[in-house]
Amino acid sequence: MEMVRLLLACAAIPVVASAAAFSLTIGPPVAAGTGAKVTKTKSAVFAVRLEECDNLDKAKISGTEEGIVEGARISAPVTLSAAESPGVYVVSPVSSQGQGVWVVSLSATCGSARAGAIVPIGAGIGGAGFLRERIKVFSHPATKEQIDSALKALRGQGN
Amino acid sequence: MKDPLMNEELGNLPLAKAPDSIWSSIEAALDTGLKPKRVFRPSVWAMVLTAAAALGAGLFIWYALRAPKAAWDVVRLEGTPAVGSRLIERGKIEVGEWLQTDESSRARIAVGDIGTVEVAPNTRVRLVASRPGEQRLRLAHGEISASVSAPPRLFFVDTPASTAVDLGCAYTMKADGDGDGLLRVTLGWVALEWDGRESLVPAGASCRTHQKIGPGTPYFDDAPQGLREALGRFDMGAGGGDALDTVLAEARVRDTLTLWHLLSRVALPERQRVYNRIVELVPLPKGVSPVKALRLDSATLKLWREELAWKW
Repeated sequence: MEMVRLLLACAAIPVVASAAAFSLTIGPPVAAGTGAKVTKTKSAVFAVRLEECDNLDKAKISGTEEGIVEGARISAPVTLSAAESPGVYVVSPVSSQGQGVWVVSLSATCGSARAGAIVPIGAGIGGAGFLRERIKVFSHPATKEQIDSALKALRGQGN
Repeated sequence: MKDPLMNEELGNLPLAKAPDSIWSSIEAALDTGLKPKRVFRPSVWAMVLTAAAALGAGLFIWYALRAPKAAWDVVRLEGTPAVGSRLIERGKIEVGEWLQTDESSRARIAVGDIGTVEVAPNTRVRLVASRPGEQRLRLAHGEISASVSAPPRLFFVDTPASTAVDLGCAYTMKADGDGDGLLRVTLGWVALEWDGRESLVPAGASCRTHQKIGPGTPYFDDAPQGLREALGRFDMGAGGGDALDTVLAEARVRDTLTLWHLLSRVALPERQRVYNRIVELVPLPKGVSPVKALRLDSATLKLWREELAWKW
């Protein structure tokens, strides 16, 4: 029985290791390169790259912009445009972030592996359009509580 | 024929009688009274008029079908901008023409259908080319702001000390008549090229141009002031080792943009110091060979820059 448990544990290791390696990297829009696809997304606020995904053809990514404006909680989908490099996307919010506090919540899958990120964005946030120091990356899509917590932290900082 | 032998031979040939049908056909032809063909001989004037008419028709067709001279639309924003000697409200600038603004004038040029260029006061620009694959302006002096949405390397702006190559971007370019200037990029990337020297400038960064030197070293606009001042001295060759020391000491993670450009602008001993500082700020990415990087292998440097960009 112990041997069976040991074999099962060994079999699970590659899957677990693979799931743990899959993650998202966030950078400025220029990190997505200079391809024609990128030039058409002038409203992009940041770029995202899927890391350690063996099958990018089947990887999926989606995102929403989440905000608090005058006390009201707002949520809307963002536009993710594929760049020339596989697994790289530029993220363009739809809403104007002139008021309130905003984050983009990203959710991605690569086979059975999952990853997520919360990226603060908005007018006045640095020159890059996103607040690098406040980015949170997860091995799962961000939960509602995590998103709300990030928004409250931004509002508390006067952003 | 004077050959007697031949004459004798010919005399021995039998006579052949012509068939009767030949004679009847001759007689028939004589009876119909064939008249000689009339030869048309136009007068000289008729020929001249015909040629003139043909020439006129040809010119008309050529004029109607010729490709229109390349020209961009120009709109006055303020004051009295002029194209050549023409004051412009709404008009065109053709290839080879200059647009000039005075201290109280501004204008906007439509770059084909790929973007716009705003021309600031006291600026002189010329439309150099407008054709598939090349849309080009020359900025003699003054300031322009370009916003272009097109594939890379379609829109170019020449100044006395550099050519700004659009890589999908928006930027402001200033230049004086001698070649000193400043490029500031607000979106995408711009490549500044001149005489084999290239600077790649991303959004949020600027780059100076210098007479006889060409493009300087790019820096992010929020870089420490000490770094920017030292970089200026370094680019002009007037800073010595102290300038490089300051740049290296004050560089942040984001300033690896500047340090990456410095790799190819210093000799090997200094290059090792620059390399060390970059790696100290951002660990060397997978696939970037230290040996190749120090040898300035172009593919290695490109990969390294692309990886560093994720940290900017």
